[in-house]
Amino acid sequence: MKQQLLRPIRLFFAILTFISIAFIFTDIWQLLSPSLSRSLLFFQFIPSLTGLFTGFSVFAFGFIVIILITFLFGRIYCSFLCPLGVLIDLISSVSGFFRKIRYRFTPPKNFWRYAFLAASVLSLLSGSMLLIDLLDPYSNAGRIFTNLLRPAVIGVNNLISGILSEIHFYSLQRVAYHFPNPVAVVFPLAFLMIITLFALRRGRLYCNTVCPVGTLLGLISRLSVFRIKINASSCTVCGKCVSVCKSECINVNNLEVDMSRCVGCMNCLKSCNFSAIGYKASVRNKTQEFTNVDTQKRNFLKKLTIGGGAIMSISARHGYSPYNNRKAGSIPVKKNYPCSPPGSLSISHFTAYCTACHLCVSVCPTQVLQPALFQYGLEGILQPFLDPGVNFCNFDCVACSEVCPSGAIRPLTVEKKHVTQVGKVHFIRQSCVVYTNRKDCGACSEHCPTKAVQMVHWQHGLKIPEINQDLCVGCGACEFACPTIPYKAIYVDGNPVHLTARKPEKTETNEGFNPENDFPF
Amino acid sequence: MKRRDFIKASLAGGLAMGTALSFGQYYPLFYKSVPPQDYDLAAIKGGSPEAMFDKAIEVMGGMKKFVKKGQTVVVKPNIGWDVPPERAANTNPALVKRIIEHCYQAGAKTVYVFDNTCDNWSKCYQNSGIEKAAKEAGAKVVPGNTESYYHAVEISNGIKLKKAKVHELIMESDVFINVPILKHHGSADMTLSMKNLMGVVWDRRYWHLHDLHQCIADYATFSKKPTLNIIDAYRVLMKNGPRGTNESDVKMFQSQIISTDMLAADAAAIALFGKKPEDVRYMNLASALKVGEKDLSKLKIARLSM
Repeated sequence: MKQQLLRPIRLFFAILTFISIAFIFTDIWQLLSPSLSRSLLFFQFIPSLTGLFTGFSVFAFGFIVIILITFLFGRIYCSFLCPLGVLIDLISSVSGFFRKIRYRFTPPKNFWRYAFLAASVLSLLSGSMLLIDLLDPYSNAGRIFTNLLRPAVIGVNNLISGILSEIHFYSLQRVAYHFPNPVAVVFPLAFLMIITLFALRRGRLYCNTVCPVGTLLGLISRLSVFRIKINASSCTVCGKCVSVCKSECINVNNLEVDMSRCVGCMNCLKSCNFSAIGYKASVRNKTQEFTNVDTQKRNFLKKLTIGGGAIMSISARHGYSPYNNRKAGSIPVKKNYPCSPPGSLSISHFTAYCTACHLCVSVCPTQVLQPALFQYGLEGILQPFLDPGVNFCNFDCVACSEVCPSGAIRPLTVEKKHVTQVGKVHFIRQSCVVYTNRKDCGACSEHCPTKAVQMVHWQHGLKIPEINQDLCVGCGACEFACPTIPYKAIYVDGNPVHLTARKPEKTETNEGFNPENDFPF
Repeated sequence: MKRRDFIKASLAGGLAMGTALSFGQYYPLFYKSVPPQDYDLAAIKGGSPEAMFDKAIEVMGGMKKFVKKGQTVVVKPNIGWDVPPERAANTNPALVKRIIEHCYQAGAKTVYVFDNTCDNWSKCYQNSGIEKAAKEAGAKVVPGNTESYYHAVEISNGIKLKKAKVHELIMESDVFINVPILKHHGSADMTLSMKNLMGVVWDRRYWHLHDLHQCIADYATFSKKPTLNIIDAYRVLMKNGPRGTNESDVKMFQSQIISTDMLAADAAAIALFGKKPEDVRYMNLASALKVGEKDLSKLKIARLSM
C-alpha cells in the first residue's frame, strides 16, 4: 500500500470527528437524538475508561479499542479521533496560511509529561476527578464547544431569527441562552488561548507535555508493532519531515522517531521525496532497550512516590467536605447539598466519574444543568448541577442521562425518572408572599409536576403552599417559579444519595358537569 | 284603481319597505325569535370539539363576523405544559385546528399560534399536539420563549398592574382569538379566558408577587382584548391544576363555551365546573373594573346540544 495515502485517510477521520463532535455540542436545534450523540463519542478515551467503572456497557470498549490500535500503530487516536488534537491541528493550519510554521526537533519534556500523568492518576486514586477534568482533551474540547462555540452559534441563530421574525417568518426559532458562572467561560477561554499559543509555535506541545491521555498512549506507543522509521540508505537528511512534524519528534541527527510523542498525523510520510520515512514492522532489540535506560524517568518516579503520597495525604487530611458549602454572608436559604443530575445515583458517584465535558449541559433543553462553581466543592468545579436559579428540570426529559459518555449519569427511563428524587422541597412560610402580603400566589404549586407542593386553605380565604417531601422529585420547578426576591420562599435541597419518590395516587372525581344533564345556567 | 296602477303601487311600496328594512335594523318587528348574531354567549355540549365548534360558531354568526378577508389572526391556546392532550392541561389540539380552518375559510391572510409556556416551550408545543394540529391547518406556529418577542405596554386602567410586556403578535394582529381550557388552578382557583392571557405577557412573576387576582383583572382591562373567547371544556382537569398529576384528575364535560365577553365566558365555565362566579376573586375584581358581564341571567345565551 502506498503510505502516502495515510495522510488523506487521517484528514478524513479528523474532519469527520471534529465536525460530528462539534455538532453534537452545538446542536441547538436538537436535530440529533441523545443516543446518537452518545454513540459518536464511542472512541473518546477518558469517558470510555470511566464507563468501565460506572457500569459495564458497550461504551467501555472504546478505550480498549484505542489501546489495541496504539499497540499496533502508535497514537492514532491523537490525530484521528481526539477533538482537541484536531482543533490544535486546525489552528496550526489556519495560521499556516499566514505564516508557514517550520518545526524543529526538540527533546521530550519528560518531567512534565510524567508529572501530569502521575498526578492525574494519583488524584484519581485519592477519589478526585479534578485533574482529569481539567486536563482530559475530550472534556476540554467539550467545554470549548459548549461555553464558547455554542453561545456564538446561538447568537448567529438568534440574529438571523430576529431578522426573519421582522418579516413574520418564524420557522427559525430564537434559542434562549443563560450565561453560566464566569469560570465556565474563563477556563475554556484561557485553555483555548494556551493551546493556540502552543499550536502557533510548537504544534502538539500540549499533547506531548500536559495531556495525560497523550502521555499514557505514548507509553504504550513505545511498544508499538508498526513504527515510523527512517531508512538510512535512502534518507538525504534534507530535514523536510522534521519541518512538518508538529510533535517535533523526528531527530535527523540519529535518524530516530520518538514514537512516544508521534501523534500519527502522517505529515512526514507525504513530505519525503524519497519515501525514506514510513511505517515498518518493528522487531524490538532487547539489548538496545536496556542500554537506553532513562535515568531521568527513574529519578522522576522516585520523586513521584514522595510527591504523590503528599498529595494523597493532603486530600485525606484536608477532610474537605464539599457538600457543606454555605455562601458567604447570612443567607436565609440554607442548602446543604446541590442536586446532581437525575440518573447520577449520588453526588459521590457523580463527582467521581464526571469528566466535566458539558455535553449534558449542551443538550439540556431547559438549561437547568449548569457548570458548578464550588457547589460540589473545589474538586467538583465545572461538573454540572441542577441550578433552579436558571430553570427547572423537565419532568419527562431524560436527555442528560442518555448522552453522558462516562456513565457519571446512568441511563434512565422516563418512568424511572418520574420517581427519582434528586432533592427535597423545603418551604419557609415566613418568607412566602401569601404570608407576608396576605395575597394569593401559588406559582410553586402550579409548576409542581407531582403536587408535592399543594395549595391548602389558610386564613382570610387565602391558600398557602403545603409540602409533601415523599412526592417530591427535586426538579426545582417550585423554586424557579417562586417570585420572592432576593431569597426564595421555597427551595430544593439536594439528596447526597438519590432516593425514590412516591408516585402521585390516582383518585376518582365525580364533581362537575355531566353532558347528559342540562346546563347549570 | 286599474290593475296596472295597483301593480305599480305595490312594487313601489314593496321597494320602499325593502329599502327601509335593509337600511334600518327592523328585524325584531317581523321575527319573534332573536336572530343568531345577537347571542352574547353560546354553550354547547355532547359532541366532538370540532363538531361543537362548527355548530356554536354558526349560531354566534359564523367566523366571517369576526374575521374579515385579508386580516391577520392570532390564536392563543393554553400550551403551558409538557403533557399529552389526555391530561387536559392544554387546549384540545383538534379544537385549535378547527378554529384555524374557520379563520382561513373566512378569508384570513395569516393565522398565528403561540403561547408563553411554563414548561420547556418546544416540548409543550410538541406534546400538547397543538404544533402539529396548527401546522396541518396552515397556521404559523410562533415561539414565545424569549423576551425579545415582547414589548412594553401601559395598562391605563390597572390597579396593581400598570405595565406589561406583551407578545408582538397580540399587538400586531387584526383579530385575537383566545382559546383557553377550563381547568382547576391551585393558585387562581380556575383558569379560563382572563387567566389564559397570562400567556401573552412576559413578566409573570410580577403578577404572583403583586396580588395575582388583581393583576389578572387588571390585564383584562387592557385595550387589546380578545375578539372571541372559545373555552374548551371537552376534557376538564378537576384537581391538581393547572398541570395535573395523572389522568384520574380529568373528567369529560364534552362542552364548549363561546363569547366575545371574557367575563361572561368565564362565568359560564365556572358554573359548569360546579362553582359560582363570585367564588373566584378575580371575577369580582374584573367585574368591578367593568371588563364584562358576569351575571349570566342578564345575558342572551344559546344553549345547544349535539
